[in-house]
Amino acid sequence: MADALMASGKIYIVVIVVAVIFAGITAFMIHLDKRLRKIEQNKV
Amino acid sequence: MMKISWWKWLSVALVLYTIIMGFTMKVPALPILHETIRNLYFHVTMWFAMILILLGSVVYSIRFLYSGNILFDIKASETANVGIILGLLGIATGAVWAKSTWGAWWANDAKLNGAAVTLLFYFAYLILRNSIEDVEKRGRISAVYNIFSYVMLIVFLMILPRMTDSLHPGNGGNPGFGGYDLDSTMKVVFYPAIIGWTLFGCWMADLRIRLTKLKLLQENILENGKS
Repeated sequence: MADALMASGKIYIVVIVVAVIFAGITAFMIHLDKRLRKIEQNKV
Repeated sequence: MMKISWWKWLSVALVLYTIIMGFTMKVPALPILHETIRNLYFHVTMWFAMILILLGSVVYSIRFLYSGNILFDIKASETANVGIILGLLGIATGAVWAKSTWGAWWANDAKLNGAAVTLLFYFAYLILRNSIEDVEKRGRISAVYNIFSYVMLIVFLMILPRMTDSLHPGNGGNPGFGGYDLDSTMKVVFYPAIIGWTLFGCWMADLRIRLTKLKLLQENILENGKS
């Protein structure tokens, strides 16, 4: 259960892995946001 | 200078908080559920985010009907799109959780079938939109249908599952997770998770709205060029 999982200390690795994936998705979103803004400023 | 809006950063911060705290914070030790109780921060929040984002879509539909401004029609349809994605993720993650706790990917249950029916209502919304060529007509008909869909969502997702037997927590007389989380430790992650996922969904919708706006703008320019 929870205590055993925590005691092994390795759950943090999974947390980091998931956080890295989410950081990647966020970077993708920011990149797309900025590209859209560039096009918006040229067009309007 | 190109800046990313504050609420987008807030969504990232809250989801990151959800991931870190959601995996590492202590949760109530319960039979059957065990560690899967942490799905509260991921599966349940998909549905909460969907319900909030689709409510936003209804507001845009009503504003479109009042004003006739096509911008509100774009906002209504693109937020609905994101809501549908969140609903599909909710169904998929629910199936995984159901397999471990109830022993089957899908059960013939009021909550599950209600969720499926709700998504079907929104698939019909997408098909309805795509089947009407005239922009004004499409806007008005799909806005009215969108409001109707949300009423059906409330009926099939919130009312009917509470009136019959259901395996699903919070339905058919079962306690919701508030009943398991006696010292309210999970709320510390659960509430920020709802806000985080909802705002992240708003960001996805924002990108789609701006893309569609650009597309329509380009089409108008092309039409002007022809004439």
